[in-house]
Amino acid sequence: MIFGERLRRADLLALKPSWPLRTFRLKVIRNQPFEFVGSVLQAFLAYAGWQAQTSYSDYDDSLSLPAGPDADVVLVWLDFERFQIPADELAGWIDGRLASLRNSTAAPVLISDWPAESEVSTGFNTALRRFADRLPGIYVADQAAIARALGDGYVDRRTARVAGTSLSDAACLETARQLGLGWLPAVLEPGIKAVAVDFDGTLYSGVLGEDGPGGLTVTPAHEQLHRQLLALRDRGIFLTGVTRNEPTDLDRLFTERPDLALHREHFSSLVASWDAKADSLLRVAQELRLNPDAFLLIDDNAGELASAAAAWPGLRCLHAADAAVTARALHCYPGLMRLTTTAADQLRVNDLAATAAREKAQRQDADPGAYLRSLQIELTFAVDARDHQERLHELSIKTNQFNTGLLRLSPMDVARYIDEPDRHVVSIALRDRLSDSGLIGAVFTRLEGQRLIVDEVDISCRALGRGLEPVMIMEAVRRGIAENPVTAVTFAFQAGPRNAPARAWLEELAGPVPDGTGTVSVAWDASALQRLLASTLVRVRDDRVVGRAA
Amino acid sequence: MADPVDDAVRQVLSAVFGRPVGKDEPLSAKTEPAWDSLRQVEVLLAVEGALEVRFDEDEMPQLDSVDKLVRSVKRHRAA
Repeated sequence: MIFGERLRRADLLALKPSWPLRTFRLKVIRNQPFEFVGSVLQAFLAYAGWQAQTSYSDYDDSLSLPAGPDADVVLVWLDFERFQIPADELAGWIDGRLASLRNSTAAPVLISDWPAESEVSTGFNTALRRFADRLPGIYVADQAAIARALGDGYVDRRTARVAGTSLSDAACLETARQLGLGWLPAVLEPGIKAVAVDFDGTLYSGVLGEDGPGGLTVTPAHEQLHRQLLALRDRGIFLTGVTRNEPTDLDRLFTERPDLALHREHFSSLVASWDAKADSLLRVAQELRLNPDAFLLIDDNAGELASAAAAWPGLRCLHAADAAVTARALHCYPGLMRLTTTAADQLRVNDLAATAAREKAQRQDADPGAYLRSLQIELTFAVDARDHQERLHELSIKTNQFNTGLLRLSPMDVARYIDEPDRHVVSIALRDRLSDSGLIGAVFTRLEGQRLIVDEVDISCRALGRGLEPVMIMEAVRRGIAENPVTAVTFAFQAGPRNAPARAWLEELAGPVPDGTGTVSVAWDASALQRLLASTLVRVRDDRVVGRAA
Repeated sequence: MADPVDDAVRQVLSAVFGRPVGKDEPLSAKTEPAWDSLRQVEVLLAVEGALEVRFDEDEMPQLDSVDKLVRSVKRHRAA
């Protein structure tokens, strides 16, 4: 019903979740009714594990009402047709109002764009996205895409007179679906990092081991599912496979069915085994250096899903009973939506393939120094780079293993490190001859007298395992210190369920780290860093200091 | 005697108001405090979707009771 082609209001209103929900406060700032969306929004949010306590502003075309401090998410829900001023003037005005709104709340802000098919609305929406990219924690909801999909069915002129909105019931229901499954979860929690898909009965009809590659049926709905999986991969979500088949049969499938849109090279990891899916999934997760709870498992066998979910709490599951419904579900499944795409998203999938090549080279090379030299590693540092803001936020919320502070910094929090004079954030990019990993590290610092406090160090798991942490972190610390007369560096640490690698590194540097939350300090020795840099086999590049507010 | 349209409309109203609407309950905007002008629109949209009818714009504000909704649905289906 949630992923159905046609949504029915009464069915959605009747749904009552039987599982625990996390509550958040949603503030809707609007100049048109939201109630017809809001009433059915709860059904979709519940599927995603959330419930909203919704409060509404008065109808306000001037957008002058403050969001107030008590919101976890602010939604700006405007009927742009109501404004009787030229579009460029409207864009300039909305830019100012968004900046003002940004200053009045620390909550993420979602604004729906102009759902009309015209040159004016398209130009306005482009400008709106440009403003949102510049302001931390402001995201644009693609309402125009819903209008395009529904065509004439987006509008219902009958309801304009009685309800004050011309949105049709179908438009309200689809908006609620996108909000509840996609847009709101995307600002509330880190997304799914990888999809693990079953083969037999899921990607095609038939059983590979019994029917052979030629006996499998791929329907148009299956083809749509394949395209949807590839689209997720293009957005930086790893595509993996877990199947109860013989590896040789899988080889035959890819060789003898070149008509399939999915090829072997599209899979970042592929396990063909008769083991339980929970075990196969763990193998895939280990290969990708992820926790199973970062996965969505798609399988036509409900029993397999249930046992995997029991083995790995937090694992998301999608029952692939019907290929068309599964393809539609992937379009809006909670955790798969990305409101912004960073350069790192596009680099991630290819970078994993390079990781396998690196590990092979490391196994073959007895001399670790020669191995590192052969990689031609290059680290690039940038201080307070505003154009890195979204990625720095991502690193703070998504990094689990090498995260010293677990502060889960919002875009607004990151902006403070960029803007405030005594705070800095150093971003670290990594590339070698095999791949460009993009921005893989962040070090958040602040000065307190002659002491530099390192509030958080985040290093993506993709960059671990090459022994680069000391150079990355201490060079970033040096850039955080700049010319200040610092004599000591204090690292804040908060223990979490998975950040043992960060603790181990910190203990090697500074001795025992307190359990729970605490700090450890080391004397600042610039010459030691110089010696470390001189002995390292990686190239360290000076980058830039950008984005500092006037 | 069972009236499937009446039953279906009551089922929709139960979903909209979040409580059971009994078979003989004369539910209307006058008897249900939560049936305000916004909820009136939600009732109409929900009934339209569930029973696959489309009300006329002019009649929409008048359909503020179970009986009126049932009569209108039957009229549209017969047309």
